[in-house]
Amino acid sequence: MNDERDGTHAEPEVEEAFVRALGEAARRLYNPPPETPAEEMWSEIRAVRARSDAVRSIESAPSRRSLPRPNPWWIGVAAALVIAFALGRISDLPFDAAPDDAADRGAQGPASPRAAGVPLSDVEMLPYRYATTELIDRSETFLTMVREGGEAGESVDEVREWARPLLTRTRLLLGSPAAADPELRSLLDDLEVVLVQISQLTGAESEEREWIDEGLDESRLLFRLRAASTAGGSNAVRM
Amino acid sequence: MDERTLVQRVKDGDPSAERALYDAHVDRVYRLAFRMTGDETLARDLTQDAFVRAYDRIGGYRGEATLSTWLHSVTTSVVLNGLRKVRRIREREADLDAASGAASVDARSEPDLRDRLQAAISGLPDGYRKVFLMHDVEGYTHQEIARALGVAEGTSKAQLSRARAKLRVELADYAEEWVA
Repeated sequence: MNDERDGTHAEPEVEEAFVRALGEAARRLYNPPPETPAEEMWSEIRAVRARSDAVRSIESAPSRRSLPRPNPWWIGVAAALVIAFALGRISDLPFDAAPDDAADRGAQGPASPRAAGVPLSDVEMLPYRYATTELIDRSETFLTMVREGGEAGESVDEVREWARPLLTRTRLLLGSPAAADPELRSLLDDLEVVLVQISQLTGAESEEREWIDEGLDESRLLFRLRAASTAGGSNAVRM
Repeated sequence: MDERTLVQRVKDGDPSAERALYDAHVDRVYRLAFRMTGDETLARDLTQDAFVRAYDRIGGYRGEATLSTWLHSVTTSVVLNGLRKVRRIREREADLDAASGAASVDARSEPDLRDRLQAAISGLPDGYRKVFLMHDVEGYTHQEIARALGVAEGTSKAQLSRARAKLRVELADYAEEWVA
């Protein structure tokens, strides 16, 4: 096909007729692509870029990339969440008209007042944004490693142990006002399911990894995490 | 719209300009991603990721190559890099198939071109396979392949030649028929 143009026609061991027939057969039979889902992909791309632009426009704080990373990282995330919960509770106080209401809200979890439409200030959002960003970055890296089957040949025990703190942070965020954002909540819900599967790996059944891969494919979790990470992690947090 | 204007509009975040670029290239990028993965979800994710990253990077485009060359180089690189992540999955699946005997059913007793092609192309070394699919199947030039893979054109040509030679051996019975 491109042989003459590219100068690869002078191949003594492969006749041109074979090359042509091989190319035709491969085009017809080897993973023939379906019609390009151009509109669906464009909608997804626009959504990712719109969120990314929105975050960039409101972020006046230094880039998350320049924030000092705590070591170990989960101490920082946990601290951020504690501060976030504290801020959330303090900012809830003026709206706690009656003790019974407060008790009801406590039963529903701290996300409820925010879900009712009380927005957080930028200052209040920062700990959540930081916690979300850390979780998304770590989860993307971790799940990519799991999907690849473990570049360094990690044991099932190690993989399970790494999943557990991520699962804990995911659940903390799901119980926080951050989860009032429906998109972030959906992402965290799907992440939680996959992390639960991983944290329960036994290594005894070969299908376990396939189920996890299927879960990742169906939820398109890695793409969504990458998109959120590219956008600054906090793009899904629009409280 | 001339290219310079189009680039500026894309840099300014003009959705219609972004869409024009997308329309011009999405089919080719998606086709390559699908050929390489054989998986609709992966092909979609890789294609979307490729365009998101290309738009993010367009601020760095300085006009050294034509815009379409630059865009296609970026998107193809993203797709091909993404494929590294799925290679291990494919290998694991192949191991599972081999363990269950599923892959070998009828492949030798009742030769079928589709199965034979699938096995032969999938069995090529990664570099050979990429170059073969890009050049002989999707019609990329060696210049485009070299740019996307970050190799010399001569390397691309050599890998294609070796890929064809291996496929000729693997598909020897068909080769005789085709050449005749």
